[in-house]
Amino acid sequence: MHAASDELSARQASPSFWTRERTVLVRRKEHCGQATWKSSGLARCFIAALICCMYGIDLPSLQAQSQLTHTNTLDESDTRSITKANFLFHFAASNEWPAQCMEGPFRLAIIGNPSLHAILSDKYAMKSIGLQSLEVLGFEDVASLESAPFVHVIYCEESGAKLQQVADAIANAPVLLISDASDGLQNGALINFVSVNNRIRFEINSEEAAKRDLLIGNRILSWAVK
Amino acid sequence: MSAMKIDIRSFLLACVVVSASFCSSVWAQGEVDRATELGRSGNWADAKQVLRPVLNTPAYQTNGRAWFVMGFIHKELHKSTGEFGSDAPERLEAIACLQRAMQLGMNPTDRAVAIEAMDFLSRSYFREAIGMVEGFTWGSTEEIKALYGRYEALEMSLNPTKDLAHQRSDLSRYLGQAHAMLLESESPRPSAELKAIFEAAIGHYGDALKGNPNDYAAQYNLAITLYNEGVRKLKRIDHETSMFELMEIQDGCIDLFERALNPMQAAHAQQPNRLETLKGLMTLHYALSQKAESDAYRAQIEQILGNR
Repeated sequence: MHAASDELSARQASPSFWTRERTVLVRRKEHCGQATWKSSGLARCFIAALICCMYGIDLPSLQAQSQLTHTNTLDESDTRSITKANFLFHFAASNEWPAQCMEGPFRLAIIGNPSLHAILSDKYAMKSIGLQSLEVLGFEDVASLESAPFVHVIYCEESGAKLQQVADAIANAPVLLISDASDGLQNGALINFVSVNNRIRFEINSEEAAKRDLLIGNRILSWAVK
Repeated sequence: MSAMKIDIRSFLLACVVVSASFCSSVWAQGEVDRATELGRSGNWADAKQVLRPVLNTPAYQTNGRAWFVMGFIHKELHKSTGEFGSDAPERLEAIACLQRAMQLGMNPTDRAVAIEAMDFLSRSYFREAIGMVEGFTWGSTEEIKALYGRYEALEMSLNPTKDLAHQRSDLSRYLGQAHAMLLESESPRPSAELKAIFEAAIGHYGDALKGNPNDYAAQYNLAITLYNEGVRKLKRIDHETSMFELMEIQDGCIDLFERALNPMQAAHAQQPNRLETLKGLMTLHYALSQKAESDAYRAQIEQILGNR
């Protein structure tokens, strides 16, 4: 009868009881042929050691990374760009441009924010802006905008003189210039993103918009902070 | 003369009682020995057939060794049949028999083996709970908790002073993580179910932190789960989202991001140079439109990476 008590082992006080019992479980699964590389710590250590030998990587850094596998993973999506993209779509859809601008595609240009450009292209490109189809253009910097065709909306990540440069370049054309800078409206933007209670909101220079023959929609005006 | 007759009657009665008791004891011990022999040759089912029917008869009710042998037989049957679950009958019977044997009393050798057997059964509940957490499916929480409950009850019966708070806390953290992983999986689920899974994840992390407020992983994972839920809400925004809906979604997300900040800061306070928490704080402050704070954490990350 005693011989049948087999796998019983002496009880040890250990703070890592969970880990120890989990190891027993994994070993059992391995024994039953159910173990996967993912679940086998031994296999992971083996692969890690192999990689270390091949590439001369320090083992501690790999061990540090393996700690992450025990935690939930941070979603690295650009949250502000997701929100801004929808705002920009509403700015395009809810304002009115002069009649001569309502032919061909409706162009929205993004300067200096590749992530915002990617989200807009993915979710909003080709969607209808009135009778026009939305075309999203991306530019690395202010200088590269010069060769672009007429655009209805420009979002510029720059501030200060560079933002002013864009505002000067479009002069009095019916282009809605949008910024995200503390001095946005002073430097020629018609709409500027601001932070209010940790939220993205926007302010409007509606007088300047009127001078450019742009009619800011009531829905947009009603949500503006100033 | 009549007194002498009474003495003879008493003597004969005593003889009958003693011999009946002796025969009963010998016969009873015979069932135990037979069951033990069958067990030694691996015939656990036959051993059970021999001992189980007579175990509740007066001859066995107070026989500690009989209950010990029966408990051991049930334990071996539990192992050989591969049964599982908190209500696995052989395991429950094994525990009941072994506990009764310990109450009735046994020789020191049997007692030591009985304790080892109970320890094994206790761990088997724990291992099953771990296995279910690792292959977690929605709706299995109650069974996991039941398995852990049986483990805890058995452990406490073996050692009433044992502190299981950390293990309970670990289980809650792993349950939180298992729920959070369901949220991140690609398989489509109804929104009500997703909401319930999210709430369950948060609840489990909360339980883990009640048991162990300095649990780094629970703090970090709680923050990530809250943050990721906010991001998931944001990702549902598309061209059909109205301005009003956008504002509502944003309010909901910011609330989650703000809730995530405290546990992320608590995790960071425990391990100030850990990159994942620095990155978490950088990302959270960015999502909260707090550029200066986000940039400060970015600078710390760059400094740490630069020093490597």
